Amino acid sequence: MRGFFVIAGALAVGIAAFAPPATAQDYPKDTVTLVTHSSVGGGSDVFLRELSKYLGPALGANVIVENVTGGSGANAMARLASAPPDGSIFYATTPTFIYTSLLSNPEATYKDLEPLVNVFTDPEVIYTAEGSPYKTLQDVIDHAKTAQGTWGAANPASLERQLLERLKKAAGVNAAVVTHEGGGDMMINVLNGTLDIGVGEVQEVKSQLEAKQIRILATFSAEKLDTLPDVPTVKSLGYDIVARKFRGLAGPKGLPADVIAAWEKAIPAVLANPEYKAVYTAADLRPDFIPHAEYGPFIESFVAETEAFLKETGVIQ
Amino acid sequence: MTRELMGGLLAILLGGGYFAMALQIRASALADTVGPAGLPKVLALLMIFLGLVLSAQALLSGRRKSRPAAEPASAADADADADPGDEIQGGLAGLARAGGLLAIGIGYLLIVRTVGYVPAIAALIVAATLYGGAALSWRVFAIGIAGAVLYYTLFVLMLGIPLPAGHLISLF
Amino acid sequence: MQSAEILVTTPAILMACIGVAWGILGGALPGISPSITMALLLPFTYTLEPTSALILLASSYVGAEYGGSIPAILIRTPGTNAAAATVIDGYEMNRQGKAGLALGISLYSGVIGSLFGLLMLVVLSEPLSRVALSFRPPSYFALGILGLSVIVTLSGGSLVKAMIAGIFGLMVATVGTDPVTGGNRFTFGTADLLGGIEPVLIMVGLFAVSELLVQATQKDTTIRVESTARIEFPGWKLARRLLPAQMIGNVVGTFEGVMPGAGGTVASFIAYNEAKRWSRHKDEFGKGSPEGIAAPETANNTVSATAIIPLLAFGIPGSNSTAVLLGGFLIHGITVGPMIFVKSADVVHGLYGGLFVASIAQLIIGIMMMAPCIWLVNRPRAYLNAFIFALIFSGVFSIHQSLFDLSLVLGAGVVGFFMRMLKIPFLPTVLGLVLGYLVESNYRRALVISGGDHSIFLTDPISLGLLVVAALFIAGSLGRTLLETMKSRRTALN
Repeated sequence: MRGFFVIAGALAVGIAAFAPPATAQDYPKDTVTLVTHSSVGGGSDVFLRELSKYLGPALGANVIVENVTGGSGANAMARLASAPPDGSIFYATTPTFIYTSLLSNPEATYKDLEPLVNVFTDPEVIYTAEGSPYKTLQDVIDHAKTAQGTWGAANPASLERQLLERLKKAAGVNAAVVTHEGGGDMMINVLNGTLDIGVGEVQEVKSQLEAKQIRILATFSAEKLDTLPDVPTVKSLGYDIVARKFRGLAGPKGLPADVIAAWEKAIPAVLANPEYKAVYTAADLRPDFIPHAEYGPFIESFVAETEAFLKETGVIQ
Repeated sequence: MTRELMGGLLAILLGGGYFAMALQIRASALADTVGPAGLPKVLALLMIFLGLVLSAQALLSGRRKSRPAAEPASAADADADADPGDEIQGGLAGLARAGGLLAIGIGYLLIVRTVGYVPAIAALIVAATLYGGAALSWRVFAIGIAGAVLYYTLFVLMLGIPLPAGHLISLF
Repeated sequence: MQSAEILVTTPAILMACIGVAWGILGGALPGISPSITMALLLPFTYTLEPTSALILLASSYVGAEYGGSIPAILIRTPGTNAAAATVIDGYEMNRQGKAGLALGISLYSGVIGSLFGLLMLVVLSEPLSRVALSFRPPSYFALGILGLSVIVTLSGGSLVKAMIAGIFGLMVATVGTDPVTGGNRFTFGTADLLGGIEPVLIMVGLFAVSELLVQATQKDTTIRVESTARIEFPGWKLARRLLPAQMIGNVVGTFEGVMPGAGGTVASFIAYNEAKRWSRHKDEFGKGSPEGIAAPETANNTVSATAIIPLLAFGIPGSNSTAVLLGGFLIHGITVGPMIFVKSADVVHGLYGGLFVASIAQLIIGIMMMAPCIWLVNRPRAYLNAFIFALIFSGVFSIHQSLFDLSLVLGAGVVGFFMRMLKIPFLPTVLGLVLGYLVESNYRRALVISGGDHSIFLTDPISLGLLVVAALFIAGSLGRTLLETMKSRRTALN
């Protein structure tokens, strides 16, 4: 239990899952740390905390979430790159770590990490304040044609930003894309009308949606969402933009085979857990398990796609 | 050289060095109109400017030295940190004494990974106590060790902070 | 009514007392910030029912904000970032042998702050959350500028030196990741610097380590005033004098607490400065003014309650400490946000009740902890300083488990030593460090929103108001300094 306290103290915010003590085998360790670059309450954070509750028993270890914020994931990657590849620490990957690697040239990049498995993909939605004049995505775009549109993205370099830049291009408007220190920060600016729209994951905006403080205008997913059947996809509105925001895990380079095997067994088991299934379905997460052998190439292709976009739009050379 | 002149020159040096580093900040295509190097450059220039002003003031007041009350006395606004300059005693010898304490701190940093927290912090307490003028006796050592155990209890056992365990322990 | 029931039916009183005692301990240890103090309790909250868990966490926040002032007064080491403003006059009073009184003022001001903050939380949550909503990026920028304008009155002797110190602080604040592009600045290729430099490292270095170094230069012949061995509360006359300072602390703390990102440290400094500006005893500030303790300590304890407002109203934690509190809610499956008053009203009311108990517990536990603390600092100086040195090295390590942080503290101590030698005040440095990121990121964000048009800072009413106040303030201070200089020149010539 000591190790557990230790890390909880270190990060200021650590939440562990209740789990039986580690078994006698070599892996798993007593404590597995999942690092996220998201602050407490952010998208990845909520995802990880839920996952860790069910993962603990399935893996037979204490699973702890550690928030290494700052640098759009650069800090978290640096932390992972210098950690031992013994399966005791993983990074919760989202497209952010690819973006940061490509755009900011940090000390450690995605190349220094080894993708483990994928768990979910989750839909990105466009939302606006309940009191705003925009009833549809078209209203927002029409506004941006005549006046200075302000669109919010949670982080400087992120999938959300790319989606907004692509939407700008597809619609032929020039809106200012305002970056923030995370989703909560941006939500305030959407609620007070500073921003016309914000982009975020459904689960991040859920509490405001329930309180009817925001309206969801469109989703970037390929198909309509089960929980929000009235919300059109961006594609159906005539802008060919679809996002596949993956949520998986990556570790330091050189993960041993027994670690990989343990996770390839644990993740599908967790996804099949009916209790957890109810939770993630309600949160609009789509299970999308990708085993280790395929996950590396998947990430590679995502990198290639993103890199091509960034070069095409002249963001990087 | 007066204190003022030294402060001014240091400020110019700092501003210059910082400016040189600000020039090396990588430009990013996602940057805004201000850019990542925008504020640093302004700060650097301000620092250099203020350094020049301070140096000029020092030189001017130095020239006026013959007049006793040249230094403007706005002591009304004085602040806790403005007066203790004179507390630093003993000139160069005083500086050397402060350097000695600093060396004890650096020594701790160098040994703590190897010998572990408890022996290192005990050594730090003993060294700093003796350095601070306590008479050499068994009490110093006893209190140093007791203090180390106390801090270990507080930080490691109660708070669960993983202070370095050291490599020595693995030799036994 | 509901709160009362919950207090009776749950071990809320016990939780509040444990939380406060733990918080004071954590707050008093340099390097253990309020958020770390709270996070250390998180694991224990699993087995508690939600109301008790949240009371435990929130009470430890209250205790920690108070606890930070104890080492600030006694050993010139701010236990928390927010206690840095208390160091100035608190340590000065201690040097004059009035440590007991200084601690008494800080304790009872803290209790007033906690109670007032709680009152605001219970009664004015709704309107105050609207205040938070009305703060846009230009307003945050203006708030930061108002905070920085304090530098002109912190100057002591020379305004130029104060500005040099302030800019140095701003420079340190630019280290780390750029807020708009995500690129690195001044990190020298070290991962340790990517997240920026923790203000507490610089504060502990500047205040505490530099003090140790300065004392090392002195022969141990300085006559030391023994501090009174027990806590002392101010008499009626002094209490009346402190009242305006505490009111300032209350108001500043309420607004700063509500606004995400501002927090206790900024509140303390602004309260300190406002108290000085409105005081009839301006000259005493910096030389052991009791108001100089009352204002910041009231402010940071007020923040510990009002910071909960944006968390409950929007589900958005405004600081690390409230982020941990959010973690406490999440553990128990409570969604924080606008619906919490509907869905989990009992938990919210229980939390209010628990915070009330915590404010009272703060007073009692504070008194009990005081005597041993004063006894400790009355030990022979060689031992005391050695133990302070060891305490700093142990506490600071706990922030990131990094020896690099320890060397930063030592480095800041050396810088502080030379600043003292050159008579450059270091409060402006601390202020620049605390506010630098807030000012820069919101300045640039505001310009992105306006498309590069600076008029956004004047069309946003809050921003305009704050900037005008800052401008008046700077002009006023400069005018007064100029007048005084001329006056003293004239008398000198005559």
